[in-house]
Amino acid sequence: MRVILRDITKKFGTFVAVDNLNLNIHDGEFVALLGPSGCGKSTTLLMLAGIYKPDKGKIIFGNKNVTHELPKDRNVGMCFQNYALYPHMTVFENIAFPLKLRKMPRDIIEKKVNQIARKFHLDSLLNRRPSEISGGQQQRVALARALVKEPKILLLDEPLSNLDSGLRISMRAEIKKLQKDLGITTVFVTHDQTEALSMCDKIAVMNKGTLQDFDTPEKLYSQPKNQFIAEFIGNPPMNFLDVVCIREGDKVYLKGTSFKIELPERAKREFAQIQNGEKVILGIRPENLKLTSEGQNTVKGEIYVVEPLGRDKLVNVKIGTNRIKVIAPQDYNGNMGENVFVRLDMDKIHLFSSEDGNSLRMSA
Amino acid sequence: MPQVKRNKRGILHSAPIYIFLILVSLPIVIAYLWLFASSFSSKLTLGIFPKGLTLNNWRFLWSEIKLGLTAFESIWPVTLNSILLAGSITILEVIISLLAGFALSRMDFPGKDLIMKTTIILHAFPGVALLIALFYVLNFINLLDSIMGVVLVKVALELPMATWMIKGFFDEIPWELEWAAYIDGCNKFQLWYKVILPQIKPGISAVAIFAFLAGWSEFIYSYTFLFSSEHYTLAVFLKNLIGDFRFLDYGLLAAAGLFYLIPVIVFFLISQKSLMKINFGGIKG
Repeated sequence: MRVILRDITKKFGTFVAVDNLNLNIHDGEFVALLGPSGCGKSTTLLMLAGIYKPDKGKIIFGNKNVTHELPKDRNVGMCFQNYALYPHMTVFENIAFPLKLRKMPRDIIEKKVNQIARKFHLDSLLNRRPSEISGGQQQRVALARALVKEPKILLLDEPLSNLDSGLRISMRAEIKKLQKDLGITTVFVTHDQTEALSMCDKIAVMNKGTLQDFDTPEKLYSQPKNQFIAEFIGNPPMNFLDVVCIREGDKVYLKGTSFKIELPERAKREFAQIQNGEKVILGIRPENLKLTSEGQNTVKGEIYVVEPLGRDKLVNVKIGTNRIKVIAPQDYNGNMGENVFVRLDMDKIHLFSSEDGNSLRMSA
Repeated sequence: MPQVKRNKRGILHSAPIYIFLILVSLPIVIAYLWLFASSFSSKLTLGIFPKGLTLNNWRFLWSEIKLGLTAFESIWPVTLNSILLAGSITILEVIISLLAGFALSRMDFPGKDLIMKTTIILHAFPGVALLIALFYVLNFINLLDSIMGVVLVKVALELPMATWMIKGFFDEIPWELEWAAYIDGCNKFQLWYKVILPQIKPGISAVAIFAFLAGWSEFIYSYTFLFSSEHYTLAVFLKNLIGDFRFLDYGLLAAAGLFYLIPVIVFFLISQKSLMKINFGGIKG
């Protein structure tokens, strides 16, 4: 089902949790609400569920305005971070609870619960209590309970953060597969950008109650609209350097405290709006940097520390007062304190305004 | 072999502790032994060894008793009064503390902090200090010499503690559980009845147990506010048995005391499990 949030504002006292949010989620889409804690993403989810009422704005499911409908009339399934299973009920009773409340006949309930339990590999646990099963199993019960009533919309509130890392990675794929199989419109709240990037069709990045951008993971990653998105998405995060833009005739340079690099044609076109002498923030991802020998368009720095990550090495380099991270091949063997030169992949740079942090890219 | 050695050393090690504990608890054990033994014997030698088995001390169960010049009524109506008193206190206290505990835990209203603080102060207030004031109040509302009057007084004084206890149980229910119930299709009543209530069952039974035991052993208010013998409770009855020292029948007193004790013991045996679950919600961060 299509979900539309229009001009949604929610306040708690004087604190504005969600500020004038507009989202347009297509039928069957898997959308992540991503942001640091306190950014309003969970509040948004609870408004979709009908637990909170927005102070302003409209929530539309399909063609129906549900802003003032109770949770029970919205036909949504929800899965919470702490699973919120009913401790006094068995696994069977937990899954059957939404059906019982709909006054379904007993034999149909039994059939449906058994069916979904088989799907989630819970058949052998049906008589246990939530306290008697593992965290991963509890989560599968929570998912089964959310899905047994065949909801039109599935809401997931940080469903993976209580799992250990191995299980989290396998559940990531499981949930993605499940969502695609069922084709159910799904909204997924997370603070983990890896989860959002790997699972969702589209990501709504939020900060301090306002929507930063709503786009595909690829677009958010390759052309972040502002410095917040650039820093929040990607691991290890993007590096930032303070530079000044200098135009000399036909050429455009970025000048830092200890370096001066020239912009290639493409970047020049993309960032044509920057004035001569304007202070900007240069952003570049660790994988777009290379440690080389001295040469044109390189930046001199000093190795601060080297973190081997297995597949490759993460080299922290000090450039003036800034510190940047560079991904180097596994066999790189620089030592702490050595001087190095960093070459930037100039086609992959980002420039942000030093005033409001917005991207200075023309197409953005 | 080393296992045995260690055990032996363990026993030697803990022996002083055991001896100390036995010595400390001996007086209580002896008191109960005395109570039990003397209720079934006509005479005791060396304090606790019964001589001459008899059921005569238990005669209050089937006949009227006379001590000196005073005749005592049958114990059964008195027992009934005690049950009525303890039962009413239990029911009232559970209902009111459930509502108050829910409000204090789940709702936000002005003055909530103040109410919570004053309830604690109220609990710390010695009830005996209120005896005379309460007497006037009860007299004014025409509840003097009535079991319901004592019930109201007792409930009022016990309520703060019970409310705090219940509040602790409510505090431990995560909000997500309520939300999940709403999303699953509950209305407010179903949420309360099917999801919330089962979570605080241990709390309800704990409050009920404490209330019943407090009501059952209630003495000072019953003794002060109840005058007519048809309103006497067991505690007052026992006190009157001791009444005149010249005619004191220790065997009879022991038997009646034991009779008074039986419900408490039975109650404890049944409810032990729930009592263990009380933690007053004290470790919630």
